[in-house]
Amino acid sequence: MPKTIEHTVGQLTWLGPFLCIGFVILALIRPSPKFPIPNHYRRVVDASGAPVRVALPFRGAALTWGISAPEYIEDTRAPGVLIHGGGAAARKWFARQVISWIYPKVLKDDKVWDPKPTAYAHGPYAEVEKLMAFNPGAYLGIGGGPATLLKRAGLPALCVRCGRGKNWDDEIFATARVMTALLGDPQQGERLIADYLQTFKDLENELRPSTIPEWPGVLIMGSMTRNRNHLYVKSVLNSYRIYLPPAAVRNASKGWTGERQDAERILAMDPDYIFLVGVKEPPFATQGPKEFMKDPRWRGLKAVREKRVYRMPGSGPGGLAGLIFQPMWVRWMAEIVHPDRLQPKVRKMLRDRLLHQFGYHITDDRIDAQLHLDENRDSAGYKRFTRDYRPVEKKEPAK
Amino acid sequence: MSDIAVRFYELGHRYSLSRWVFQDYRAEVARGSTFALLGPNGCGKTTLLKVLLGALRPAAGSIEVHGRTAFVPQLFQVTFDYSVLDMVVMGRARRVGLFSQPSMKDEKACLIALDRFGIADLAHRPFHELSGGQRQLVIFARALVSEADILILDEPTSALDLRNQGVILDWIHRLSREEGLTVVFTTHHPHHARAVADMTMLMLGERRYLFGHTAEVMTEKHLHELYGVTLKRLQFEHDGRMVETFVPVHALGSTGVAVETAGTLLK
Amino acid sequence: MTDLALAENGATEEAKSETVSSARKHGWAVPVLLGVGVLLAMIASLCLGAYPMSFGRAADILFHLALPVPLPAHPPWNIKELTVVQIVRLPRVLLATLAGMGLGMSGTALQGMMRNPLVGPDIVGVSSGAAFGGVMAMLFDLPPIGVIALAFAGGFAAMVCTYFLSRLANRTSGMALVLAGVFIGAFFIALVGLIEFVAPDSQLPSMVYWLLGTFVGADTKKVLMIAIPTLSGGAVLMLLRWRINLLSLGDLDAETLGINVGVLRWAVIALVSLIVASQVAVSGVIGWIGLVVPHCARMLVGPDHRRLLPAAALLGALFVLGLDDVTRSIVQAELPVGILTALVGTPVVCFLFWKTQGKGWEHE
Repeated sequence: MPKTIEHTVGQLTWLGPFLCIGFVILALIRPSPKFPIPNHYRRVVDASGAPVRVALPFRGAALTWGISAPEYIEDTRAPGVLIHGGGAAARKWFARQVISWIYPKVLKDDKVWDPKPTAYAHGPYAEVEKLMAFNPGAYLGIGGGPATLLKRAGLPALCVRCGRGKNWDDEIFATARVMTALLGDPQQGERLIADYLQTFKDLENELRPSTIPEWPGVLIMGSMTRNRNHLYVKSVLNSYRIYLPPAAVRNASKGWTGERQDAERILAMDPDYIFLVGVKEPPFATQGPKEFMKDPRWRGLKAVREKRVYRMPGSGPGGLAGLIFQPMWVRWMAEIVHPDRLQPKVRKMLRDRLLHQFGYHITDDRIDAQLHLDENRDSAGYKRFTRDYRPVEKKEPAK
Repeated sequence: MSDIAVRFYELGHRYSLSRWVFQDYRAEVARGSTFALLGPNGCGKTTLLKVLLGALRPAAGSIEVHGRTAFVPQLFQVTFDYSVLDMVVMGRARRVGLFSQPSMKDEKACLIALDRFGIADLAHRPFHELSGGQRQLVIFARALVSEADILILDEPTSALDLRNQGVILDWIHRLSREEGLTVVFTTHHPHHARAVADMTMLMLGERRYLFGHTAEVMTEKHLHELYGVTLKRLQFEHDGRMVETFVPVHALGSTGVAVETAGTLLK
Repeated sequence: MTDLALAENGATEEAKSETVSSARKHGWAVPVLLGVGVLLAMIASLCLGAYPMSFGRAADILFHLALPVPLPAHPPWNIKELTVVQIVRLPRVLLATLAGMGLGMSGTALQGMMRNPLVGPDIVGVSSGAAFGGVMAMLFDLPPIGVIALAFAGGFAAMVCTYFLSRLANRTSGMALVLAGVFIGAFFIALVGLIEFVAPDSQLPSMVYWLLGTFVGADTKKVLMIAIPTLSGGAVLMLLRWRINLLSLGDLDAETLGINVGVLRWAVIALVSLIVASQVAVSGVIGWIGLVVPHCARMLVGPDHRRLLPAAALLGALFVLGLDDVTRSIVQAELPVGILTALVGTPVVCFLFWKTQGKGWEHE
């Protein structure tokens, strides 16, 4: 009776797709595919303590979520083996850094940069496929993000910092160690770290923070030009906090602050110095010191009355500069706040260190640009950062 | 099993505490008989049907229903455009297991039922496209396949044209005589009740009702009390048999007297 | 005599019955075709992405992965292709398929149960309720089972509220239900807003992105989270599908046909809430699918839920899978699929509204 069969088939048709999909789901429960172990490899222990086998000869590195190209180049000096540096935004960010002057070829190399914006913000797995297609020798990432998934698939993904350190110093040391080990020169990482620590030690010897009875309060903040009410304050819990004591300043912000900040609370904090972070270029431009001091909301602030508002060098909307630049910007802050105790050395340091580390001669114009002289020139005590500054006035009262 | 299909005992229902819709109603309907419920608008006919169907719990008294009921609502509309066969098959709900679908056997039974009403050719037509009379017959077929013992109809003839009214009344008659179904229906037309009902109940008021054999209950006096309108009993000969019916006589303002169906006053 | 009276219309009927029963004639062929279509669409979706992959290769890998036997020792594919299929693309494809199936089924069941072709899970507030449960769970960092449980509780509560609110309107007209759904939905959306307001900065962006409806970040855990409730709840719904026909007749009618309307209705509400909650828990609120897909399925196989429910499940899967493929490939930036469904769905819904207004969906 074909009609009966048709009837039964009609009643059970739904079962077929259900079963097929059920079987396909079972496929996900299978163990992940295992990538073969390369014949020649270098064993690198990443920041999470996991050993990773990196095939030799090294095919290059692809940066994933959380790692920026300046950081990578600063630590490794190996722009040639950078296979993927990030998306369009990462390229823009790279172009603003001193590193891009030193290695202009990286900036120009279209192969390194993906013209599309990255989708990391949309979840950790958004970019995995694109990254797989690059076929690099190693993927660099931080805890979470696509690197985790790549690692689970057995691909050589290294976690360069995993949020295990007590403070930001530990994290950037770990980054330097993993990256230099990947390139087969772990000594270079140690040299960088030692150099970094020495710079801070030199600053401490000259400034002697413990002998300063009262540390001025500073506020590191940003205010968007497009929307003046969008204020950002680096809180006392932010990674920046550990760079405040070496400069003998304290964070004037109180409690947990962040994206949603209102002007009234900043007025209540009333810091002695204000350091502005963020970039000058739209669309995410933040106010510079001139614009900030003209803003009627801030007229009552002590720092504004005394013109102690500065745009910070080398700081982006959230990232910190690495091992080489970080100590210099701390010294820059210390020189502004404690001009009487410190010789004006920032310009010379920048020139010397770039020459020493990268063999790069930086021009005076570029130093001016790095120190934001165009914007900071009128702020209190900024003359010492100009190129023709001679510390003469200081000696006169001594006579 | 007793010969009583439906029994009301001191039955009462009210929607609010203060006002009873009806109270102390007593009636007995024998199996296989036809029972008509008459009353003016708002007297509680539909409420009584709902109590009968078990959709409302009686507020007082008790009701006994011996056998399975099937309901034919006044205006049958469905949201979705089911085919006639789909509609009729739904009558088999009691016979189909909770997690199963109707079988070929069920469909065959439905086609037989449709054929019984002479509408087997409509089986695959959408229910929406049928005329009012055809829809009623489809619902009758559904009641038949549901193997109900008691058919409950809410104003089965009210939305139909004269010819289809006749068809439906004929089927009510045939279902109770040929299939042994007990039929309970409400109507606004006394002559419909007179035509097919064995027993009739006139819902006169909250506590007042008349229940008995149709011929005894339906008198000019009672109907006048029920509707507040004069109804004339007419007897005439048709095809060699005497026929009895009731015709309302309305007073129409200044013109004097008009008869509802016959039109105007004859000198 | 009776037959004569009705036969009058009979002359024109023959021509009509030909066209009308066409849906019924290949009633079971459509679900089969749709099932094959879904499988082909799944394989085709596996080919989309940054890593190049041919249709044959994807089918080959999927076939071997789905068979419950070990993979061949010397496979024709390379290990990267296997990884891309197994770890990256398959979870997402399955997530979209299951979400579509769940939405198609639950929308159909809701429309049938509520006797109103203008409702869907997002219209009666289930999605908003589930979203509220979901963000609550995210706020407290609950494990997956907790997310589903809270989403289910929220969705169920919203649905119960909507249902009783529409009953207050005394007549179960179509508009009362839709309006009640709008009220309850707005209330739960406000609660979601409240949670967003108190949520710390670190959780806010992921919450917002999740609420927009997205399949990004699919993994095995999420697939299991949606698969178990959708396939098991869906199977029960499938078994009950003929009873949805009966529910769609109305309470009194269904009751007199001998089914327990109360129990059946609550069972369907619970199943629908479960399916929608699991979908919302893994991929956020994806609107309109549950409303539009049942209509399209009805055009294909007719209104009988015995054929409609499977067809709607498969059509929903096809629909959502297709939309997700569009967000993945044509719209390069990962547009949340919830936005795309709303953009595509709203005009369709407007059209349906215009079309159904004339018909008798408001009755009793």
